[in-house]
Amino acid sequence: METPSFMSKQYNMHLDFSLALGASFTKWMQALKEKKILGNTCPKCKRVFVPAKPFCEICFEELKDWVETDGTGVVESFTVTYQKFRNCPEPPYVVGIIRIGNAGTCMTHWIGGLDYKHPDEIPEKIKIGMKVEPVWKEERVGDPLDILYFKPVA
Amino acid sequence: MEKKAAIIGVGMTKFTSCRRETRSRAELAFAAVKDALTSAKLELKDIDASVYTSVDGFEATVRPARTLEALGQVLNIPLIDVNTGGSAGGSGIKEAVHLIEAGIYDIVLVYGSPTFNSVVDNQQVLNTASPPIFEKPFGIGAVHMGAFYLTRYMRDYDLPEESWADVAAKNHRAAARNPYAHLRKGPTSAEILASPMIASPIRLLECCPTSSGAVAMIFASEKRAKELCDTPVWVRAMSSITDTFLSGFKSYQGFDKLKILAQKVMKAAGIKNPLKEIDVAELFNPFAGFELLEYEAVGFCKEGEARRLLDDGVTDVGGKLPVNMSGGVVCTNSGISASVIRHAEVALQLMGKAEGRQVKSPSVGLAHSWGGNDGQFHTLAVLTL
Repeated sequence: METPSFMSKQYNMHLDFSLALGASFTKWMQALKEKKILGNTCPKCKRVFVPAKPFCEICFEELKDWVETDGTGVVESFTVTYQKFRNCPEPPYVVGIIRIGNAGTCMTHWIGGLDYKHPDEIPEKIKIGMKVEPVWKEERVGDPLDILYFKPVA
Repeated sequence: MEKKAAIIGVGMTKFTSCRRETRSRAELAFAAVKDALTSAKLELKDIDASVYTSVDGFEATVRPARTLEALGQVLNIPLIDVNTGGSAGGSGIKEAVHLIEAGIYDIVLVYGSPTFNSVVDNQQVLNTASPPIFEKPFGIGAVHMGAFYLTRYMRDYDLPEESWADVAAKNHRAAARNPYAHLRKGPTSAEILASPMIASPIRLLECCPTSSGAVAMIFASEKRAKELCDTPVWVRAMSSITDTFLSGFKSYQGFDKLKILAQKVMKAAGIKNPLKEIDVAELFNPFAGFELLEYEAVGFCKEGEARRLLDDGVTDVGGKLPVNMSGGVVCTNSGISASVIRHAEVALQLMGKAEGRQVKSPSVGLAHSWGGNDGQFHTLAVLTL
């Protein structure tokens, strides 16, 4: 048997994590169970944060005032994925940057409810500024995935 | 008198695919550092401090600097570990420059590690850059984050898809002239447009490969630089900027943070008209299209006009301001090496040592790096003869 000039060795690690969400994220997540998308408002600059935040990064003020949005938003940008990545959804899928109501910030979520028969044509079906609304899961646990996806408002 | 820092040595290995790599991390570090020391006419014992740049996670350790521990321990000198994602190379260089400008050290080594070459599936680690609960479940990695910027730009300025392929082709042609680059086949715009779509509007040949190789640079105080080097490259101005972590908190209308940073750095460097006064630039482009947004952010042209700069050949070989004559990150992405290389390439151009890819007599250069979750960090440096 030939002696190799170069070798490589494989190893792996499996690590588990648990993240405390804090009061603001917990309240925001719990409202999703009731099909509500909340935002919280900075007392100083009046920006609305969706998803909620514990404090305004710009003014460094605690965000105590809550507002309930109607859940609709607009698409600020998006990408259609055509390549399968490990531990990611089956392509094609669309990820959007969605501004809920008049929020100062955006949410990342899927855009669905589109015709997927001709994958190449999906990008042309989505417009910047297009209005979208959430499609809710039947069983909700308090997680961004309680929203199945956002679909264009008819 | 204000203290100045200069680049006096550059060392680089040739770059290859991570899968084909046979050199160990220690061998790559040894080759790059030895090359940098030789080019600076120095020995290992002359180094006062070393800066190691990498990113946690890719090597299944929180101590990626272990590759270079010997340079801290045996020499009894400090080893400074800098990590700001993909821009860690730029941030590490900035630390080296500050240490010299502060008068603390005379000779500082910066090492850019081959971050990507031990993880079997890079994408799995890259995907951990996004927030775990709010964004990771949606299947977004580095390419998707890049795509959000490019989709918005295309729609805002009615840019045809061909422009992304054209800027990719310019980089691929340049890489074919660079003996150190990884991808050197030089595909045409038509071939790039025929490559598979990965995450719209980014196609396979507009994405960087995962490369393996290393780079090292030697920085020196003014006194030592003048003693040791005939063509020291001075750091005239350098700074960095930080954005918020969440992808959703960004506007995706151009690289707004880079624009703010560029205004500060150009002012500090005394540059009023970047296009006129800068001779060569290396802009961080893991996805080829980034280069066009960067022309606008660093002030080479107005917003929406990058395509014209590209189409007029201004940033190509023989143009007024050649950009990414190395072939850019899109043709060689060896992790953190890539952000050190932007500075190494500009230094080699100014020294007149950019074998095969030399621009005619440049005297002012610009080096940029980009990193963290979705462009969370940028660094920018003006380098001069």
